[in-house]
Amino acid sequence: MPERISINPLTRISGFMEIEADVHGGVVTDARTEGLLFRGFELMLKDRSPFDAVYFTERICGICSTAHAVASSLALEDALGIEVSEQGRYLRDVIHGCEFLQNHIRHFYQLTVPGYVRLPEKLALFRTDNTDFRLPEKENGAIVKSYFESLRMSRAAHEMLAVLGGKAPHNHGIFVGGATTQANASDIIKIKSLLGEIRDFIETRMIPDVCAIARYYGEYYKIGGGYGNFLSYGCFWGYKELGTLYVDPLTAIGGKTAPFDPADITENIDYSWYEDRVDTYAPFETIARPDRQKSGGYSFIKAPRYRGFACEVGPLARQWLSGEYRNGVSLMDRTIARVLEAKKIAEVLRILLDNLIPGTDVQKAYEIPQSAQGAGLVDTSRGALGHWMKIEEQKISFYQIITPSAWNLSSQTKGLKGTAEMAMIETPVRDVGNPVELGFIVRSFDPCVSCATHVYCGEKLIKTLKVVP
Amino acid sequence: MFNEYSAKDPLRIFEEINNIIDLLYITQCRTTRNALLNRLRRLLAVLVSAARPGAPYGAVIPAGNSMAMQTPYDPPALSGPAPTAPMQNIRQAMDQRTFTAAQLAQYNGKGENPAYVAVNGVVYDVTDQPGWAAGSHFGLKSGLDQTSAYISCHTGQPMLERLEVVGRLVK
Amino acid sequence: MTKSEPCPAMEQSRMSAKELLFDAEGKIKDGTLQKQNLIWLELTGCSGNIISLLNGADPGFFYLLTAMTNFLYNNTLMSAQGENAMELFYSALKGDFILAVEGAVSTRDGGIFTVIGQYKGEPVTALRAVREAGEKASHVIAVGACASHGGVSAAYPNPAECIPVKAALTRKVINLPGCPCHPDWFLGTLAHLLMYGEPELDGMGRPVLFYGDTIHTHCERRSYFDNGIFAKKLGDPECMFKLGCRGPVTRADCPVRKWNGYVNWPVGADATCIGCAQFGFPDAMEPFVSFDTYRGENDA
Repeated sequence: MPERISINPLTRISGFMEIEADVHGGVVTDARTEGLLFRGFELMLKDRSPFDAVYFTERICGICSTAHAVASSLALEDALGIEVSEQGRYLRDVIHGCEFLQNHIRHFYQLTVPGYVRLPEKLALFRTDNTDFRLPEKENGAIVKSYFESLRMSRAAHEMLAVLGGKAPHNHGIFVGGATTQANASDIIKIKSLLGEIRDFIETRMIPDVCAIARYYGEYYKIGGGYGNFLSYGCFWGYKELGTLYVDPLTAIGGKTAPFDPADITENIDYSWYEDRVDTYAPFETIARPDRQKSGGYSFIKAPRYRGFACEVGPLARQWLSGEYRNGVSLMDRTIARVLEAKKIAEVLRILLDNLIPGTDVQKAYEIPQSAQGAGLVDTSRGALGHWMKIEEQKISFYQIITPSAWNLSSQTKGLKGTAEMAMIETPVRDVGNPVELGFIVRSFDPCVSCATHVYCGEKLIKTLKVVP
Repeated sequence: MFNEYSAKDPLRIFEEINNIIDLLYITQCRTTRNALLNRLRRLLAVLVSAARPGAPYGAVIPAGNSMAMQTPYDPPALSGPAPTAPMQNIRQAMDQRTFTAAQLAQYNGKGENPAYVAVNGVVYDVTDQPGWAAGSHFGLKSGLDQTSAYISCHTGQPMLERLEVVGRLVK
Repeated sequence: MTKSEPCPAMEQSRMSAKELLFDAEGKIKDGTLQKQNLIWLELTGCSGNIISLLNGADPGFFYLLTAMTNFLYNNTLMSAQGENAMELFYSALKGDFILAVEGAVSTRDGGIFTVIGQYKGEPVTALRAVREAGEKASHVIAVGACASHGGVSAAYPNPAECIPVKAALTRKVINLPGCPCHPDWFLGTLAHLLMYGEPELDGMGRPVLFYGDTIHTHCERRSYFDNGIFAKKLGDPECMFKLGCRGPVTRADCPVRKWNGYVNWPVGADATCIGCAQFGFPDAMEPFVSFDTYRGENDA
C-alpha cells in the first residue's frame, strides 16, 4: 500500500507549489506537483499598445523580470523589422547578465542553502522540523556566514543592473533597440567594480560552498535526473565581433547535439485543461481557450515539446551544451551547474563591459505598423523563454508566452512525461515523514511562480490546477 | 429644516441660511453650533457652484480636525443637473469654433492633432497639461467628452479655470 | 440645552480629550526601537516586493531580521516547508504581530486561484490567509501596487478577480504602492511604526513621508518641462512628457531617493516614468511609451 506524502507549501521557490507523492517500498511511484497562482497575462495583454508589453510582461516575475523585458523587446524588434546594433545588444545583455547573477546568488543562498545548512534558529525564519543536516559545525558555520554575506552580493548585482536599467526589479532600461540609456565611463567603472566583488565572492565562497554540500549529500548525484534532453535558445551568442560568449542555440536529444530550430517547437494540450481544434500547435497558431471540463485533462500547464521530446532548460542544459560541465545529470549536478554558470556569466559580463563604447545612443523614435507578428526567444536565468506576439490595428491582438518553467515542469503528452515529472519518479525516499529529496529535486529546477507542475504516473490521472503566468 | 435642496431654488437656500443664523444666536452647545456652521458651509458651496462651478467649496477640512467637523462632510447632491461651465469659459467658447463629437474625436493628441477634451459643453486644450502626457489622463482619452469623469473626480476643484478654451461642443 | 445643563455631546467630547491626554502620556515612546513580530504574506503577485526588500541597505535584510523584527513567516525565505511552515504561520497568529502583505487577493471561485499552503487537510487560500492574519494584526501594511490597489494582478480583464488588501479586510491598512515598493518605503514605514507609532497617512492610506510629492515636483528634468523642451525619443536628455511620462500624476520620491543603493531611477536611465506607484497602475498609466504624440507646429 503506497504511502501518500504531501508538501504544501513547497517554500523557498518563487511562487506557490504543492508536492504530493506516493511512496511504495521507499521509492516514489507516483507524484504530483500543483501550482496555484493564476493571473492570466496572455489575456491581459490583448488590445494594449505593443510597446507597453516590454514593461508589462516584466511583472510576470519579480526575480527574473529582466528576462521578460528582453524577450518582449526581441519579439517587437522581430515584428517591427528593427535591427539592433552590436552596442545595443551589449548594453541590453549587460543588464540581462546582472539579473542572472542576482538570481543565481539568491537561488543558491536564500532558496537552496537553508535545506542543507542549519541557519541560526534564534532567527525565527530559520526554525524547521528538518533534522537531516549533515555538515559538521565548522563547514555549516562557514556557509551560514556566506548566506549573510551573499545578501550584499545579490544586492550589488541589482545595483549593477540599475546603473543602466534605472531600477530593479522591473527595470526601464531594456527596450526595443537594446537599451534606453548610454553608458558613460562612470557607469562602466561602477559596474566593473561591483562585478569584481561578485566574481571574488563566487570564486572564494559560492563554489567552495556548493562543493562542501555536494561532499556530504553524495547520493544526490544519483537522483533527480530526468531524461537528460537539453535545449537552449542561445545565451550570449552570435555577436558579430565577439562570436558566442556562452552557448549557441542547441539541443541534445539522447546525447546527440544538434542546432536548435524554432520551427520545431510545439505546444501540446493533450492532458491540459484547454480546448482547441487541435491538440498540438505551433506557438503562433493559437491560444487555446481554458476548459476545465475537458475529459482526460489534469493540468492547466501546457506541454511544450521539441520535435516531440520533453527537454530540460536552464543552467545544467547550458553548461552541458556548451561543454563547460558534463559531470552528470542529477539534482546535485543541476545545483552545481547553477553556481558554475554564475562564474561564467560574470566572465561574459567582463567581456561585454570591455567592449562598450561610452556615449552610444541606440534609441530611435519607433512606429507601430498596422499589423505584424514577431517572436522573441532568449535563454535566461531559468532557461529558454519565448514571447510570440501579433499586432493588429496597432494593438496587441495575440500574445503567447512559454516560460522556462513550462519546459521543465510541463504536463504529460500522450504517454510522455514532462522533465521534472520524470526526475521525481523512482527516487528513493529515506524518511517518508520528512521527504526532503522531493523538495530538493523540484527546487533544483528553480521553479518560477505561476507555474504548475504535476507528475503523472501509471494510469492515474490527477487533477491539477493552473499556472499560466 | 435639514432638507435637501438644489442649486435651482436659491430662494429656499436664502431662507434656510436666515433660519440657521437665527439658531446660531441662541445655540450654546458647541456641538450643535458646529453642525449648523457646517450646514452653512454646504449651502455656501452650493451657491458658489451655481455662480462659478469649479471654484473650491469653502475650506478643505484636514483629516483629524475633529473640532471643526462634528458631522461628516459630504458634498452637495450630484444627482441633480450638472453644474454649468464657468461663466468666463462660456463667453470665450461662444466666440470660438464649434465641435461635433466626430470633429472632437480627431483631437486625440496624436500625430497632427493637439489634445482637446470637452467638459460641460466647453472644449479645452489639454495638450501641454502635465497630467495629460501623450494625450491621456488616468486612462481617459482626449478627443472625447469627459464630463462625467470630471464630475466624479474634480468637483470642487478649480481645474477648469486653468485650461485654455478652444470652443464649444455641439450636437 | 441651557447654560446650567451642558450639552451631553459636548461633555462627551471634553471627557474624551482628557482621557486621551492621560493615555498619550502613558504611551509616549522615547523613540527606542522595540522589536515586534512580523509576518510577510505573499499573495497573487510576482513576489517582486520581497526581492526589492532584499535590496535594502542600511537598513537591510540582516538588520530587519536581527534588530527590527522577529521575522516569523515568509514563503520565499523560510527554512520550514509544508505542514511545518503552516504550523509556524498559525502559531504566529496567536501572538502580536505586524502583517505585511504583497500581491493582490484573488477572489475567483472563492479564492482557490491562489493557494498559499495546506493546513490540517484544508487548502489555505490567499483570501483566507489575509483575512485570518489581517483581522488579528496590530498593523497591516500593503506592500506594492497589487496589494495597495490591485496593480498588474488586477489589470483588465482581471482574470483572477483580484482585489486590493484593503477591500478584503474591514480594518485600516497602510498602503505602500509601487511596482515594486522601494525597500526604504517599507523599512522606513516599519521603523516609524516601531519607534513612533503610525506615520501620517494621506487620504489613500499612504505615508506622506514617502508619497507626499509628485515625481514631477522634484524631477531633474523639470526645467526642460517648464521651458517646453521635450525629448523626441528615449535616450534624449530632455523632458519626456511628450513620450508619455507619468511623473506629474505620480506621488513617490524616486527622483530624490533613487533606487538600488540610490544609484539611479527610470528617468535617470532615459526612460519614462510609468506611474508604477500611483493608483490605477497599469491600466490608467498606459500607454507607457508613445512616439506619436502631437508636438505643435513650432517643434521641428
